[in-house]
Amino acid sequence: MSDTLPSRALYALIAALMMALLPHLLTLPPWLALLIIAVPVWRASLVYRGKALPSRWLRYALMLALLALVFWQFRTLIGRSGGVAMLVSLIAIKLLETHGRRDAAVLTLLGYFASGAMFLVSQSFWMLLWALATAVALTTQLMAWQRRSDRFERDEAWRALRMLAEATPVILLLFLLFPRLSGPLWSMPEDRGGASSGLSDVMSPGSFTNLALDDSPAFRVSFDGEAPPVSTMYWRGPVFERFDGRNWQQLHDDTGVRPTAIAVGPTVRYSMLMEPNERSWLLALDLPVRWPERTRLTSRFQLVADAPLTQRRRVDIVSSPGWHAREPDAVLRRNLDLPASGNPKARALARQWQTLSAPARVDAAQQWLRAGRFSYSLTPPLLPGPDPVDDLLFTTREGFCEHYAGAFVFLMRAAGVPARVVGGYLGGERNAGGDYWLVRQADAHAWTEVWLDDRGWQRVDPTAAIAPNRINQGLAQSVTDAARLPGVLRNEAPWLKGLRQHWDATVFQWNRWVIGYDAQRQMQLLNRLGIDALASMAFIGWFAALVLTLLAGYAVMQRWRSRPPPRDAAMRSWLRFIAKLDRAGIAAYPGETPTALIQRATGALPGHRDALDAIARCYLAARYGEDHAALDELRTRVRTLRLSRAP
Amino acid sequence: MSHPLQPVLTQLNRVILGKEKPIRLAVAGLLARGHLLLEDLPGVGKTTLAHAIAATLGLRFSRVQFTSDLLPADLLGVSVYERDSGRFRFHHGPVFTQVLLADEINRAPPKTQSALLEAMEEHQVSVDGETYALPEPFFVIATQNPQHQIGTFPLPESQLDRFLMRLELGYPGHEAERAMLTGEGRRELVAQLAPMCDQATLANAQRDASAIRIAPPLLDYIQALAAATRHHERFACGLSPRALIGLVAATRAWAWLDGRDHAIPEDVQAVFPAIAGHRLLSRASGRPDALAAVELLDTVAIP
Repeated sequence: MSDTLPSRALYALIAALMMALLPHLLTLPPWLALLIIAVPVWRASLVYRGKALPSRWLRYALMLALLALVFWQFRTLIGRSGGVAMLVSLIAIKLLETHGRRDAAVLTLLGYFASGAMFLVSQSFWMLLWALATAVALTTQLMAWQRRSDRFERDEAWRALRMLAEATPVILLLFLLFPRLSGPLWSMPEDRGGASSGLSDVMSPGSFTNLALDDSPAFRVSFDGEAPPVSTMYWRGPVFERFDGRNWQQLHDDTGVRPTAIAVGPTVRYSMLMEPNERSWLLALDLPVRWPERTRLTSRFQLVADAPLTQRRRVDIVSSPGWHAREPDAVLRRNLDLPASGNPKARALARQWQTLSAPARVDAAQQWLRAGRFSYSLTPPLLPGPDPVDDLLFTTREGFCEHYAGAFVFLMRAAGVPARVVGGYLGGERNAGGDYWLVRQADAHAWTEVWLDDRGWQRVDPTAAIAPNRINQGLAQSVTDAARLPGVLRNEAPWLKGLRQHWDATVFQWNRWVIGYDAQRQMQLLNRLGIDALASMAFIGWFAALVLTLLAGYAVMQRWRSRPPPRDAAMRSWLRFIAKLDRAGIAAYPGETPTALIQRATGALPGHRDALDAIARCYLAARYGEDHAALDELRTRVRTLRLSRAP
Repeated sequence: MSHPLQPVLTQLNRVILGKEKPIRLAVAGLLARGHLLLEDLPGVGKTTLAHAIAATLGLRFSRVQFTSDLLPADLLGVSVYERDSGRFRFHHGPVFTQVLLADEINRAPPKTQSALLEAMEEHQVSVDGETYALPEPFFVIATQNPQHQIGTFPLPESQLDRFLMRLELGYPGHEAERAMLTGEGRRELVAQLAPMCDQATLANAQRDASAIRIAPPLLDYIQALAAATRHHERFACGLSPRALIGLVAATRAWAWLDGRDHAIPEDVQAVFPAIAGHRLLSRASGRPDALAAVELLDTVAIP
């Protein structure tokens, strides 16, 4: 029973565990989280009121009930949500049978595990701070009860902090050098169902309008050197080529013939940090000429990754704003396709331009839009009729980018100019402090490309004809009903904007340098350090060898530091001293302690009192206090001792 | 040389005059978490010392006068049927305290003496199949009269082994006795004693004392002493491993009281007679042979 944990240690354990569990609890449904929290609170109240633990049967029943509830909620006990819920429940239940140090040790380990698992919830900077605080709390309470003392001294928290500080170089070293695999080591059973936002692979009326209300970040970009003008920042996403009368879709069939693209003029070099989403699209500027591994350029000049961006990913890209392409005829023919019927007014309008040259047809259409008193709105009327393009162009005259882009391509195709819709993002918000651009979901945009035989694909943005402000001043300055936008997208107080940008810059740097540090960047770093030609298995081997060597070196150093003095060094000096005493006429008795002997000797040799006392002191300290300095002093003193003969 | 328990020693020495060494040993024994047996003639101040220790350390104290008709239940407590609730309720006995003064322990019959065994060793009490933990710290300070007195039941060896130390006070010196005769009454003095330390200080002192370094040569010495008792023709049996563990703990406590961070042979010699005296029974008489224990110290060489 003496193993029982003092009540204050138990409170500290419960508190530290709650810290470790909190991020997980926040991911659970509130009723389940509250139910789980109730268990530790109950346990703490039992301690407070000095009550006994619940009986074993009650504990089992509680455990089964909680697990059943978890199963009922998640339909599984494994996977990310179910598994975490089960772990959290079991940790809470374990508290109910915890009264001794052994249980507390198990729970402390589980607490460390849970705090490591926090990064499954989020890899944000806040989470790192919270995990560190949790580690300090866990270590503090661990030290408190390991000392078998009920007193919590401030120095325990300090020692925990100091241990953390001492571990920091190791953390950094492991972060930089621990072999990173280019793919995930195992695939986490991911829960689907969280509504995903972002660009969709079908452009239907309203799909961009909905995004305009979403102020969450899509990606952040930092340019190497001068950033291009914001009005040319068209971040290219999916290309929509097929029109079914209502929706625009991508074509996934490849004609087998690749377009050729020629980049001319200066290039832009930039690094994008993509927020996770379910797509594999990397939103590059036209025209990417260099891109990282595990990504490719499609025949529609869209940059895509080999796998969906389920994690934040940093990509370095070089683009050439000046370019022209040569397309196979099949592709151009496809970009003239229209449904067989529908939208007669639009077709009639386009027919009027057929006598003009292709560039003139494009200009005419833009001119027509500019003169048509169209308005740019987040809440355009629905177009449920059979001829949505006609209704937009001739009746409602109110729409958002996807409406105008679709209508423009319709007109161009009807006029015999190959054209297609391009989805993506336009512009972004510059963060002056962090020197990067934040592109939000709300910056999603749709524009068009028309094919001019001598110049290739030309970007035409019909929105520019209707709401020119959208291109260079952003959404809030261009739509007619800006009040519907979320706060950050409208006009903010300058100080608030500064604060928000400052914080976003911190997040950006964290994501860029910590989260974005992947296998490829590790390779680059190591290459710069002169470790190249890494076959990764060999690297892992060398790394393991290095770690083992360091650990072994540390162990040897520790042993060397705490080594006992040479077993008999003090004794040899002492025996030499006894011999000198003997010659001086004083013999030691077998059971006589050094102090007693010296007392007797000083009685006989009062002139040597100081020297003899010092020798006794040094001998005791060297032999029994294992004091190296005393040993050295003892040797010197015994060697230099000259005794006169006792009377 | 200064340590947090110095005020305790000073105050005890003010109450029990001229007995520095036994008092220091008693405090060392408590630091080593051991129980004490005070053995001497009636009237030399055994009970006063026990009482003064409890009061000075600020511990809860209860006193049981052991008599030939004392029953285990009188000591440990008893389960009483309560008509109101219809169940048995345990009424805690005087053993549930921090310092138990078992006065004249050898006047009680062996049954009662051994009722203390579990309490001393495990710091818990089992009655009617239920186990009750004792408060911490828990010390037994027992007094007994020399065994040749009439009407005593000598403690069995197993019981003796559970006392870390046996101390004798002896007659006071001339000066001390004179001061006692002229000064205030000892009992009144004890009644006025203020605690000189709190439980946290005591717990810390115990913890720090248990961390005192004992170098291998000193352990060699302790084992050599034990080996000498086990192969000695005058003793019926040698020191038990429990006694050695107690010896190490008491040696550390003594060194701690001396303000050192390591123990030296003097510490062993200082506590050895009190620890070995009551455990080494003479082969001839079957009684403790304290004198022979002291003689051992002169014959066993310090390695």
